[in-house]
Amino acid sequence: MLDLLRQRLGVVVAVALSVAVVVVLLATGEKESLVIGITTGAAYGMVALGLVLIYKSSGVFNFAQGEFGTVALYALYLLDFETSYWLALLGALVVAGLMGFLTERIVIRPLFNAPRVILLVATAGVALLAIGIQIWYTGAQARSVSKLFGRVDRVEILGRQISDQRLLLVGVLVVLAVLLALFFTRTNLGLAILGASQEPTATELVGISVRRLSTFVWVLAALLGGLAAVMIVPDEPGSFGPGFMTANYLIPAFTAAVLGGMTSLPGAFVGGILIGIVQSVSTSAEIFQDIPGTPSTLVTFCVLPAVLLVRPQGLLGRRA
Amino acid sequence: MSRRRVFWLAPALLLAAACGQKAGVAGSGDGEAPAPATAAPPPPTAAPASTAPSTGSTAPGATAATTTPGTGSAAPGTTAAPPTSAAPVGPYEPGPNDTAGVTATEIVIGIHAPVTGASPIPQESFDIGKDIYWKFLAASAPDALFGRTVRVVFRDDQFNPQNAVRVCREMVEQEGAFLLVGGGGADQITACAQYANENGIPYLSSGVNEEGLADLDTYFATSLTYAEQAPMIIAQLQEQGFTEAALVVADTPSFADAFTALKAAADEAGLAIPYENRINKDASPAESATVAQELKNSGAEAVIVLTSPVVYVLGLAPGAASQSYAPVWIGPGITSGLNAVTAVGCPNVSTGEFYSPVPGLAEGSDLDPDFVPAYAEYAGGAEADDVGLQLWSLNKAIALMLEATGPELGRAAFMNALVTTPEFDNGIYAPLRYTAEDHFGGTGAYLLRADCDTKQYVSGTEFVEAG
Repeated sequence: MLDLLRQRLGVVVAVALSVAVVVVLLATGEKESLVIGITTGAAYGMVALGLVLIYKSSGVFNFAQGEFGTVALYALYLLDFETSYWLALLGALVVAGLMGFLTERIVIRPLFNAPRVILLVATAGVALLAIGIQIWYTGAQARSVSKLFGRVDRVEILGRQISDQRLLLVGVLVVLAVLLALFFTRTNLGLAILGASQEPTATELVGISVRRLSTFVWVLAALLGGLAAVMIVPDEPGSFGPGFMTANYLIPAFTAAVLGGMTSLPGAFVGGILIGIVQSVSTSAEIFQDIPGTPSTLVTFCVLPAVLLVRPQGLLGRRA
Repeated sequence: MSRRRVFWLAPALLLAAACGQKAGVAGSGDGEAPAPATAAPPPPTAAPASTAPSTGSTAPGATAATTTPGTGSAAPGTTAAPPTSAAPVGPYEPGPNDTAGVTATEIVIGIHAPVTGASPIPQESFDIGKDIYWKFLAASAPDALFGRTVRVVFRDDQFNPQNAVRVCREMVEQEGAFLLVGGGGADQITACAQYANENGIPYLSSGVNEEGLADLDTYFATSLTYAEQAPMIIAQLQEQGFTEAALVVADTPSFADAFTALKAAADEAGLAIPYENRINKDASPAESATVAQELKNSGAEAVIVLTSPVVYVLGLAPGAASQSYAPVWIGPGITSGLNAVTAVGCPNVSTGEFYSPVPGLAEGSDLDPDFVPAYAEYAGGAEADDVGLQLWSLNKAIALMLEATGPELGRAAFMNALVTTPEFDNGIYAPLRYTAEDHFGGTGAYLLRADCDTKQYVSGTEFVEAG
């Protein structure tokens, strides 16, 4: 029993922390912050999912993850003029996947054996290039995108309306986190990807093409980034500009991924929710109002090292 | 493609992406402003005049005088001091680079504005609009500005104060700008104005903050500052029947005086403020949603907002709309009153009202009948827009200032003309009045109201005079 608890310490800590956070917020009247944290944090978590996927399979921090989303938004914006919304949505995901494919083939694969830090810089370069192209193509102007579900007041939880689209986002995120966790633990392909990330030479020796797996993972991560963007942005704020996902979601998503554990897909979900709650509470709670500057940023970056000091692998991550 | 070729391609792409927006970066880096090569102005031919005489300015809200191109040295459709042959005398003494950026035939003006970053000023509109007035003036009144034409150089400051200083230096040291103009963004304007002040360069911008600018000798605001607009905003709210309003101001030092002024004006007028927040300048989605929720919870039916347009359009307004909360958003500001905001923010910003130095596009076109035809003539097919109207109005005011300076154009003479000329009235702006002690020259502003049917801001043709 104790061994099992020790093995699942991360899960226990995460559950205990979550329950404590909920109780404290409800007791202190911060119920709306709780809901905002969950709904906004779900968006962070969705972006974090793609980051964790890449890191889990290749050990790379992917700075281009946000731009997979922004490019998908531009595709949605342009295709929406030409065809039905559903087809435009599908097209946007295809464009995101294509960007992931091209990133892997043109940037990642040639640097496959380079130190990880070079790959990290290369992904930052991909993001900068994508933003530059967006500025060149659109003149840095914001664009509006319509949403799948327009109704915002069907559901109200703890005094806060949740739009239909946001409910869908939370639902999709939960399903994706679970499915991907199962994929990596229960399927041969998932196990092969994990094997390739930890022992690429051994994986090649048993006849698995590590490079082909890499392409698959990057396309999958890009699809996740695209899906996150086309579900989040049309709901709120409804418009976007060059580099939008990088500027607004990448840092919180990175924080969420590290907090949840860079190797844990459900951890990305939990981390996203926690970061959302921390940002929301530190914006609204009285005790943070006297902090000069921006309390939410300060508190976020206090929570992060605190968790990492206690549990360096993150809440749900595992030591290598 | 071989691995080796791709290996070199990746850093090349990185370099291109990193440097693509930064063409023509200033290279001196030593902080010294080399004197650009300029023709020396002719020597003074007359005894210095004391102060320029009063010019019988137009009444506030009056339509522009009819344009009479080719009337000698006066800019069309405007009132200002009549030109004199001697440079105006005042508190400014010529420095070593006094005539930099001026030749016998040309004046160079440098403009910086954020066309990328957290501000939505449309770059194409800015590129086109920055010199339409000067082209019009050169063609319709060739003798204006004493035979000189104006060349405008523009740089994107990327909504970043450090970049603003860099591009201002670049425009002065490499392009030889005679004076600098800030197109928008309080932090960037403050940073660049301080650089200009250190180097004795006249700097003009629409009114923003007063803190950090009030002590600068070379800074001049061409419209009301945020703090000066505070009583107007409160009065407008009371006129609409509001007895309370929430207050959300970006947490940047540049807005501290506006925040204080808005609270003081509300207090003085008896308008309650049930909720106030200094929101993060780059608020995250969670922060914006939380503030929007708190605004709703406060019960305020009006919100005074002074943030970057991005926080307003992409954060607060949609955050409120998602909670079926639609307060009147009112505030000072130039960029939040641009049609780019209504274009992407509607319907969430349909209740937005912002004070602006220029009226709505249609009303501005009525006030200055030359504006739209000039665009048709010189904009290469682009339609006249509100950014163009802002630039047209600003340049028209600058033309008046250059005229008032006279033929002996230098930086000191220019600034002396500003503080000694009683009034500059370009027929669109509320008249500008400067003194040696007060460089915040705005006297009124137009109230723009969002019209989401046309996705534009509309206004009356009469500006609201500051109290």
